[in-house]
Amino acid sequence: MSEHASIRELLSLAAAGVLDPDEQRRVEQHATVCDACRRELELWQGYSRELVRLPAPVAPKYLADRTRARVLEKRAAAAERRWDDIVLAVLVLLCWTVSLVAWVVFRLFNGGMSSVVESSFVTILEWLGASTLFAWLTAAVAAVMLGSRRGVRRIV
Amino acid sequence: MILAALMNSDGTLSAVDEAARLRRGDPDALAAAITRYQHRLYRYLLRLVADPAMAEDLFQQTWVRVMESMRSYNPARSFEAWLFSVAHNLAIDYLRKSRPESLDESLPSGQARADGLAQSAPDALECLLEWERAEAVAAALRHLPAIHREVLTLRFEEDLKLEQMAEIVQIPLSTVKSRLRRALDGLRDSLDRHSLPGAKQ
Repeated sequence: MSEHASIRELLSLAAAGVLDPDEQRRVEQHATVCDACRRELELWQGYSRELVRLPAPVAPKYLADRTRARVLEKRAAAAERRWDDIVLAVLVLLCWTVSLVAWVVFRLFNGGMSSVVESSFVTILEWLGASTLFAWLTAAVAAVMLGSRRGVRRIV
Repeated sequence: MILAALMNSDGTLSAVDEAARLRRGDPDALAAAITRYQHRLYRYLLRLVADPAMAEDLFQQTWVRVMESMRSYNPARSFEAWLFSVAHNLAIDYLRKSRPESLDESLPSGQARADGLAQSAPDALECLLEWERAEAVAAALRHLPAIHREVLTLRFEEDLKLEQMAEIVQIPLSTVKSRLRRALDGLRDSLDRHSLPGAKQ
């Protein structure tokens, strides 16, 4: 490719001011001796000036306030979800603890201390499984009830 | 001394301090950041999606995403470039889903720009009054694919360097350069065909 042809390919970028200094110098030097490229460069510089001077659209006045409100609302919702997760985890732990304690108390009243100490691991697992199932069923009912309440609140 | 080090020459708190406040969820820092970037970010999104209502929605989504991702933000990086890259990702996702053809890079004529260069009149724009020229360029810009409008607005309206543009658009430097050249060729082609019918005479 001739120097003229390679310079011609750089003219638009030279006018846009994005060439490295060496390339920019090459283009400017060539433009001083080549009328066609100089005119072409001036034309591209005209386009660049028009692009810089384009009428700038302005953001609507309410946009900043609405955006801030939306971000804060999202953050509050996220914080609420985190709180719900913590409450759920605590409730699950509490549920298991109550189940275990209830099992120990039940055995104490029915068979004394020896029945608690001598009970097998399988018996404890069965009790824990049954009580967990009961707890999850109760939680599911509560979740459905809470969900329907929230839905009603949103509609209102 | 420490406070002075945190302050910029214009007296505003440094970007690092601002990022720290945003990470803590400080509502005042959030309001200040939104206000500072509102016109530039809105203009960038508007140029990209060419729909004021969508630009507003994407503007809001950008700030929601910024606040959600603030913990992953590296303060060594320019906040401005990061903010615009978040906006870029959201806008491109939207365009990909709603108007995939708007991301097409080919010139409207299907020709390489070089084909028409020799015939272009060198003083075509000089025949028009200044406001007519601005209107013609704005109209021509609207005819370009979104990714070409994007690099043009980043370079000429945001006055960003190629490196910053590459960071925002998340493509290599050489690709930004070639995309900018194709965008300029496309703009000229569009001006010749739509706004300046006599330009090729």
